[in-house]
Amino acid sequence: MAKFNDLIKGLRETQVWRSIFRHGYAPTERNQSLAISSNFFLHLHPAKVRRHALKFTYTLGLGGLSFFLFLVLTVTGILLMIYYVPSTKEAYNNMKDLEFVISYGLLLRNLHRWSAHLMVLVVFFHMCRVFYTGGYKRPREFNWGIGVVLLLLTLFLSFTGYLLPWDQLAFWAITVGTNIASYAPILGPKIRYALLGGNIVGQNALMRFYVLHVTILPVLMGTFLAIHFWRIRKDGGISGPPIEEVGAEEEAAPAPLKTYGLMGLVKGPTPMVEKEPEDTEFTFPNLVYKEIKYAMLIMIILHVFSFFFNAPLEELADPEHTPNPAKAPWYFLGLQELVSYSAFLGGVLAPALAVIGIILIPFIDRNPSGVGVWFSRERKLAIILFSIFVLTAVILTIIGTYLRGPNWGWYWPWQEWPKH
Amino acid sequence: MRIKNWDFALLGLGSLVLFGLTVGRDTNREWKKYQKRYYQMEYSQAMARGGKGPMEPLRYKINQIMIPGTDIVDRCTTCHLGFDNTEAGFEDNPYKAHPNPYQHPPEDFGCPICHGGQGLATTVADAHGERENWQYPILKSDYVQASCSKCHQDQELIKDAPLLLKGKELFAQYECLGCHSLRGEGEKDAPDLTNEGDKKRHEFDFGKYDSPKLTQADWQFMHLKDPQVFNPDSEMPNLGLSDEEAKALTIYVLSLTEKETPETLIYAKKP
Amino acid sequence: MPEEKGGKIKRRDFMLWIGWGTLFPVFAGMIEETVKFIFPNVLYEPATTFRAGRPEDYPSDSVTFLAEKRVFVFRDNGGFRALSAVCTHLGCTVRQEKKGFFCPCHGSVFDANGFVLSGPAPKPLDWLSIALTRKGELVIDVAKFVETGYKLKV
Repeated sequence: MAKFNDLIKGLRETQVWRSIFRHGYAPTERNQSLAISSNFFLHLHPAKVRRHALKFTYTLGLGGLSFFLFLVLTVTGILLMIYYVPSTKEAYNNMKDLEFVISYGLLLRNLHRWSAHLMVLVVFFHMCRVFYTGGYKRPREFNWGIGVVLLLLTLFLSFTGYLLPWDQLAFWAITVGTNIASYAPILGPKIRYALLGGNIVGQNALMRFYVLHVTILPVLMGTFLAIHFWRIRKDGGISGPPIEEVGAEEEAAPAPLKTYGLMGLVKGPTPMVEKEPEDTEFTFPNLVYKEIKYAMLIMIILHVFSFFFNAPLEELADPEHTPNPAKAPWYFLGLQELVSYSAFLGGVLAPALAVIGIILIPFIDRNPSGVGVWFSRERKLAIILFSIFVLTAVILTIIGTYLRGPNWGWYWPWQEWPKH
Repeated sequence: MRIKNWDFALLGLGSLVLFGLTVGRDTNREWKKYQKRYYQMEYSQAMARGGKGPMEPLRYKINQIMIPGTDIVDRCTTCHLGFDNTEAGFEDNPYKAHPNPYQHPPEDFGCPICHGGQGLATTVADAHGERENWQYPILKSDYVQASCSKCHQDQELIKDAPLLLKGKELFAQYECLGCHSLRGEGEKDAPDLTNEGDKKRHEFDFGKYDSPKLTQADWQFMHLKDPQVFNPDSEMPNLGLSDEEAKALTIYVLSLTEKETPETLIYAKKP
Repeated sequence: MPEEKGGKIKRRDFMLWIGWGTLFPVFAGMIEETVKFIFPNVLYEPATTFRAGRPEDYPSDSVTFLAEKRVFVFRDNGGFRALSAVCTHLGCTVRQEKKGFFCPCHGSVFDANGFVLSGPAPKPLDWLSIALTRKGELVIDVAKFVETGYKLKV
């Protein structure tokens, strides 16, 4: 044992080791800071974070979880690309091959599909969390807008994703989706033509949606994610109550001996400014371990789900038969319900107004108070208005999912759908 | 330090258990069970004949038939290993030998072209078409005759499909075209039958008998025996068919298709 | 990593050991899963054996190049033989010239029996298994090699 320890010690003193790991492990404050700032993956975080930001009940971990799901989707997606051929003749058979003959093919497909569903849910919840804690307020107005763009990208990614197996769902979703686009003013029909690469849903359309799904949208997503994270740091970490209200019992931290370069030029409250009460914790290990554990929990949940439920696959695309009812995945059923009243109002105008409205929220609601707490009493009106929006979206989705049957007719859950 | 690491340890153990389950399931695929049993049966037969020595280690492999000149692929022989083993004489499926295998060599025709089902699948339920997303279940026993006319379009040639020929005769004898239409002939008082054999399982209304086990063939047979069995308002007359006659007519009706068969497989076009 | 103090691992360190000790096997296993995923269990490649028509399709004393399968079929008095057209150096298809075979990629030269005359090829061209089916058709297996000089008598 002593020899083993000597060996490890010797190893740690080699030039190779020292070129890779710049600092020791001993739990000194210096090492805890270096663990974050000298690590490529972790330097996304500040070396110290405010205490309230660590509280699960404040963030619910939704932002980090969204990013983790994006990573899971990237890894599983790249692996699935190895077997997937974006051809109307082969795509469906690829799904069968993944299920029946490729080792872990079904597992990967399930993980990919269920992570995608979960990501839509989590990103939406993240938006709600930020709203209800007032996180979009000055100076974070711009980052709120980036967040809305990320939500839209998530939705487009799922839309383009579930088209790829070329089953009935895929075919009719492209048909309906691109027809909705054609209702957009002036450019509508051109957009449809460009998306489909023609007038009918066929090989060109599948190829285009594939390129969108595996290159264009992920690259956009990555870029906007980077901006999102960057802005979180530049806006002074995640939102929280104003520092004066924290009521810190501890003495102010001594000013850092080392200056932090350009960090000194950044406006707004940063965690390491002198004169502020000390309410920060080291990111490592406090936040890092939390993140690891949360990621493990989600992986376990995803695996359990993938173990018991297979990703849906309908019949091979059949242009001669529209399934009845032809339903999109649950997250688009609210939109489908709206579209069932009017393609232009429900499919173009209402979503466009909703998106613009949400992006403008920080500029409309300029009341600076109530940041950093859930459902602050100082922002009653804002909370009520936003809740109405969320509730409408939820109700529409529930109607589309559970109360609509053949020919988009109204059926209560206890009513049986007629056959044919 | 305030971290309590018990949750980390617990999550780690959970991951490990789950990982084991996933690997276990992927490794123990259903078809392996059938391959194992087949090789064991083969081995015990060899022993009974006076063979000696230990059993060879099992080599699990998915068997796949690709039909040249088409994009038809099937994996039926992954489980139906005895299909060309006439010597062993296994009597029960999935290992039964195919009668007269050289008339339609499997490497030229594959299985689903005659038997239906889902060739790409490697589980029993999926391969036999008992799942929602595969609408053409296998044609059991005599009902296979419904497939002959896919390639043998000159019906004279089908001497091995007596029920199909009988069905065609009955179709004329009962003057079905007096109400139904077929490829532009007949009357339009009843549904057109031109592509009756192409209809998907879910296009049929099984009424109170609805069950995933019932196939298109079952629907046709029950409907021919008693036209009002599924839909009491059906106007089709009860022809008073015997079981044999109903079966023959079912086979004929199932053979009515507009789907194109790959040219290389059509009998008349072969040299 | 947890450090030993006085020969006893502290409780929280022990938990850390369990956590990482289970997580790393899972990571390793996932890599193994990925490797298994990458190696396909079935292939859509054409079968290595193929039917090459009837013996009478080949004129006597002739060489026929089956380009799709990369095989030369020779017929002479001694019978049939099949010679692989795959250069044993790096896999290009050799071309037949007056006296033998030339590889266009790196200039290997083989004689009519496939022996290397010059160039970088390490060994002679492969002689392939050729046989007759019960229906009287020639069957060639591009994955099965026979000894040099083997001829199928018809």
